[in-house]
Amino acid sequence: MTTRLPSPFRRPPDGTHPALDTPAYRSTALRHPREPLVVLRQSLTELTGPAFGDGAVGPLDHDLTRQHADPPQGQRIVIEGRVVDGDGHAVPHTLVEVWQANAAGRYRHHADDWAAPLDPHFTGAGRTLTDADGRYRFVTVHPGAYPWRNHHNAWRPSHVHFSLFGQAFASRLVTQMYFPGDPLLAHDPIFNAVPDVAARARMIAALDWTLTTPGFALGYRFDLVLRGRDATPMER
Amino acid sequence: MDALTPFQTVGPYLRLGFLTALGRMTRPDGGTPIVLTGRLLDGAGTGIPDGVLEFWAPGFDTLGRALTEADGTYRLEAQRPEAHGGGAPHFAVRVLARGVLTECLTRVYFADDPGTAADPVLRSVPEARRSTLLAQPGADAAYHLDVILQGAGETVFFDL
Repeated sequence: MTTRLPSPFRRPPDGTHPALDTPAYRSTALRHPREPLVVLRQSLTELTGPAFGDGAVGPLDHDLTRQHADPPQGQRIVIEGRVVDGDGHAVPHTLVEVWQANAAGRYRHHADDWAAPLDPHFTGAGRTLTDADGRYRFVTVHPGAYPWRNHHNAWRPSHVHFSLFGQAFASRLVTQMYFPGDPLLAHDPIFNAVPDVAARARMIAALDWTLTTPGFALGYRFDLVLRGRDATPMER
Repeated sequence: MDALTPFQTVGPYLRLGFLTALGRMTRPDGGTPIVLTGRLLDGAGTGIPDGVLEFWAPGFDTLGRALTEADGTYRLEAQRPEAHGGGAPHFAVRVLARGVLTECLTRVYFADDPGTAADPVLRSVPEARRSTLLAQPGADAAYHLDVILQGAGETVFFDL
């Protein structure tokens, strides 16, 4: 019997994603495989994935400024965008998770020991599902830059971590959203680990006047593109 | 074609953002309960405390995410996955961690499954390294497998 599988996902072009062995980001040294990767033909395992229902997120999970009794310190911002695959098709009803430092550049995490203040009114985690057209929206505060121990006088540019699942195991994406015009980007080994300069730019959100809300918040647009599928379904 | 958004590392604070599907995954049609544990280790044999293993197999209604503890230990409650497509039962596994700029993709098979030895993906892996993908059975439906990112006993990772 021939079973029709969903089409496999296309390989990403060279230069789109960082190399696992990136010496400028010191923590990769002991955390990258040295053996060659084994090429895996995509099977039902990789071509399927979990579905997330509305129960996966709460009504205020997308609004990081309303998760405590009072609003957090910092510049309130709106982040909105659309999740599509490499063929421009919307990725609907997929879980989007974000996490970030507070306005002072401090994470609410036991391992963050930088002396910037925690904000009792900011956790820094959000979740939402994309709508039928692949759109999502978060309300949060502009995260602060912060020092890290990668090299002398190392500072991470302001960023928001994004985690997306897409439609299958093979289409997952974890990335970071950066802010336009940030002078720290040129000095950041994580941002610059992406070899292709044009690909790096796709991690920078755009200040968007249609999302900027008078008297409320600056708006940033951040669209995300997950892997697309080959045209021909695979048979076995 | 739309150009892809690049990967970036989850960084050290992934626990803050990963709040869904933690520690267990379920198959609506049932199946034998199992508990899979092990450690996520770096190239010096040190446990990785800021990592996560994400498990998936067709037929489950969620993925299972196992955040690593201070010594790199992970723990997943699940059911045995079903065989499909001529292969032996397995989970697809994605490792994300600080210091991992994209993802490390592997699989977990069950050493005591009669179909495992003939699985075509396992047979595509050099024989000496196949054991890095085999969870070993213990008592009470417990299985154990360490995931080693680098060096001696390095886990087989796939290019998908």
